[in-house]
Amino acid sequence: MATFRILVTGGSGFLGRAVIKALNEKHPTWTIDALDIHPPDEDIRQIIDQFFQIDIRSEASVKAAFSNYHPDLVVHTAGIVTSRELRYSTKDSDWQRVKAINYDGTVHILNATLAAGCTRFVYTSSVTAIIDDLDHDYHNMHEDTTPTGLATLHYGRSKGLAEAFVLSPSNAQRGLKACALRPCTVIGPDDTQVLSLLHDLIAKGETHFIIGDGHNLYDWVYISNAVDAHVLAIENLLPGGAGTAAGEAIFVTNHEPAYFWDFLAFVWAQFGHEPRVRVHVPVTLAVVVAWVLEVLTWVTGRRATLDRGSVKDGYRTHYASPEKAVRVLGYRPRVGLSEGVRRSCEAFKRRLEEERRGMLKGEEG
Amino acid sequence: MPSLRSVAYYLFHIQELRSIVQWTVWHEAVHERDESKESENLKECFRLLKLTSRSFAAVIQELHPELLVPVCLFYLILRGLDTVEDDMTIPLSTKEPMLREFDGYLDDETWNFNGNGPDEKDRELLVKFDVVGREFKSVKEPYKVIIKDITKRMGNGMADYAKNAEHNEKGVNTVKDYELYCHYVAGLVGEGLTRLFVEAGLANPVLLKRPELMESMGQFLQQTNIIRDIREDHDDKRYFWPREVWSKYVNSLPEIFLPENKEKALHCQSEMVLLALRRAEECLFYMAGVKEQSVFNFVAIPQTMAIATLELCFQNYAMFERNIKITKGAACSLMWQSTQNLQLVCDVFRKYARKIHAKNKPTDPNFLEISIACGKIERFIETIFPTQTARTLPDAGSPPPADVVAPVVLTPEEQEKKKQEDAANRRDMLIVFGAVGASLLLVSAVMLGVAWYFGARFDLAFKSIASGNLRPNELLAEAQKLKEAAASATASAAEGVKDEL
Repeated sequence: MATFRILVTGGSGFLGRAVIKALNEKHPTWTIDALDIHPPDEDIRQIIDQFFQIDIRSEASVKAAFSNYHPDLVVHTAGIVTSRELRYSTKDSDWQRVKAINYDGTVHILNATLAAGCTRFVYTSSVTAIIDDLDHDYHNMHEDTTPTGLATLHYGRSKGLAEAFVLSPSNAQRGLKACALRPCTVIGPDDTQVLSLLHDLIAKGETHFIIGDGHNLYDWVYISNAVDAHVLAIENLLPGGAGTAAGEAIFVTNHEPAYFWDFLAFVWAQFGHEPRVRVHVPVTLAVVVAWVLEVLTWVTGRRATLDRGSVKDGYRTHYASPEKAVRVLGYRPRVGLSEGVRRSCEAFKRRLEEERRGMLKGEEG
Repeated sequence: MPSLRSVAYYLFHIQELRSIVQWTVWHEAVHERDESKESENLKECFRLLKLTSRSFAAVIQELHPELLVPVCLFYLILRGLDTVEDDMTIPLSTKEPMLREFDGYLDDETWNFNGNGPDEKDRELLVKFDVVGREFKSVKEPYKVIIKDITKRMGNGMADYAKNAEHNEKGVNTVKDYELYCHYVAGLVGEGLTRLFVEAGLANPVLLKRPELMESMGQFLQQTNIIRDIREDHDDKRYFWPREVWSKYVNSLPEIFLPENKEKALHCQSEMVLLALRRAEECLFYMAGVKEQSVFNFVAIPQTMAIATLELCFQNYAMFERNIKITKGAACSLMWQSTQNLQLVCDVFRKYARKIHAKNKPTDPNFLEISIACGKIERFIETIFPTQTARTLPDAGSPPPADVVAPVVLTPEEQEKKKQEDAANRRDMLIVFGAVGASLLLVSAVMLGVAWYFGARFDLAFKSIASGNLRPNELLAEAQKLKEAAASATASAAEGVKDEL
């Protein structure tokens, strides 16, 4: 059986860690290396062979790491996810920071990969490359027909630029076989962003409001399914694989589009919270209120919880067709969405409990 | 005569009343039975059809002539089988062999059966079953083969259930058993009908290569009926809801009707609704494969009725208290939409999926699963009829600038022809302008004439204009002055008259 050397960038992150573990489990004979700005946890350290602690923004240090290093395939999951108010930021300084990591970082890694003689590359793009264009609905979007380059938020814009670079014809001419996976919002037991954001809304008393008619569908994906898609793409591109994923962008979702507000309500229900009433707020009213709050934020300098971006995120229809992922990768989610939410919320509850105990102990001490 | 209650209902639901009127007045059958060409025997078959079926008689009678008789007989045969199975007064020793041999009776033109209990509502069908046998003889051979095959398999399936003591005692055990039961009583009907449609060239043969689609058509209808009829079946001491589902909520199925189990009943109900709802996508897929309009109507009407019934039942506790059904107005509206095209049927499915979604409660154990099932219906519809946005539409665009339009080279004959055309165009244009001008002149003349007749002083107006007074304000002032002068004259005249008196 063939054995390969795989490099996973972002190997200390939420997705990268899980990809390393899954690869090791499925292909114990393969050698796995990791690259990250942060050192890996102990469990990852035991699996991997080499570790590069590198800031991908620096071209020189990326080049140095690859100077005498020849992997068979590079999985580039490293990146910055803008969450909370940073997601809707319009500041140029924020854009420069996001772009430096997500776009420049990808360029550095890909160039170094090719320079090292490796031509196989799996890029963790994002569905936001399309849907961070909050001015349009995307119903059942298909990779082959949905336009890119319309995203306006920093995150989606940077991911879209990087994806276009990875899949560009000039790189293909250099012999690159690259696949861009576009996961939607990933949830999982180790996730620290999505659930905490939704959980905070309970305390803020903001769970009663539904913006628009509430019939807007949205996609999520459970971590192990997103990882499955990565493993399938890696196997597809390596020698012996079908090779059909080369040059393709593929949506990675749970193939279970659910109504946006239903998903939120289901998460809240896991924490024993049920909104007593559901108030439907007309879209225009919500946008106006959000705009006023934005102005107040600008005047007072205090953070508001609502802005036009989050309003639009709440009423837009954004979900993808499963067709290409099934056809090209043979990807089918193995863990259902509701099971995924239950597992993730259980883990989150345990963490909250630990934090609470830790705080109590701190007080005693 | 409509009851007072229904009059009151439709007074407040004008839309539904409109649907009833629309359906009864405007619905035109795609094909109509030609009774003049029917034998007495066939007429008797249709009479029995109307006697035994409330919902199917109408759609069957509008079917394509090629399938009209075969489907009618298919229905009567399966109804006959059902009448044997249903009748608890027939001893098992008689019933089981009858069910297994039923397909053989079809070749015997004289076979009929007098052994049903006096209360059996469709008793008459079996008493006169020889009319069905006589008609079946002249059905085309390929149709005969299909009908007999389905009758045989359904009869054997029913016999297995009738014999199965555990089933009779404890009801349906697992979800798999439940779906198997629905397969025997409905899935097989779907298969038989699909084979008839394809054999007659009225549906896409691909439907036979995707058997899960026709299976779902039957499952969706049957499961919906089983959910809705829970109360009626409980009163008859028959239970079809699978233990695998209800055991999560109650210890025995009859307990579900206890008032203290109200919430559990609703949770159990939504799990049953979920099982059915997951079939909806494949039903839409199936209907997309039907070519002929009367066949489409035939398959679509029961499906839209089913999704509406499912929505009516969902989160509705009344279902456990009495027999509920959709209103006549809603039914007419559904029939109207189901007899047009696939897009309208999809609209119906989306509408009811969203209604179910809106009633869905986060405290329900199957909350997210139901939301996803509705979402999948919407997604499937989106694959057939994509929502068009300004961006997905091809850019209508502006016409290209004149300088990029290539000059057109014409032959002398074409030039001559073009000249004539241009001249004709100019002439037409002049005539149009002339006509418009003449009409305007005429209308103005009439208006001025009428004004003059009623005493307009054009002479004063002309004089005023001729004297160079073109501003209406001054004209008005002048008029005011004139008016005052007239008034004072009148007043002094009046004074004079007074003095004289």
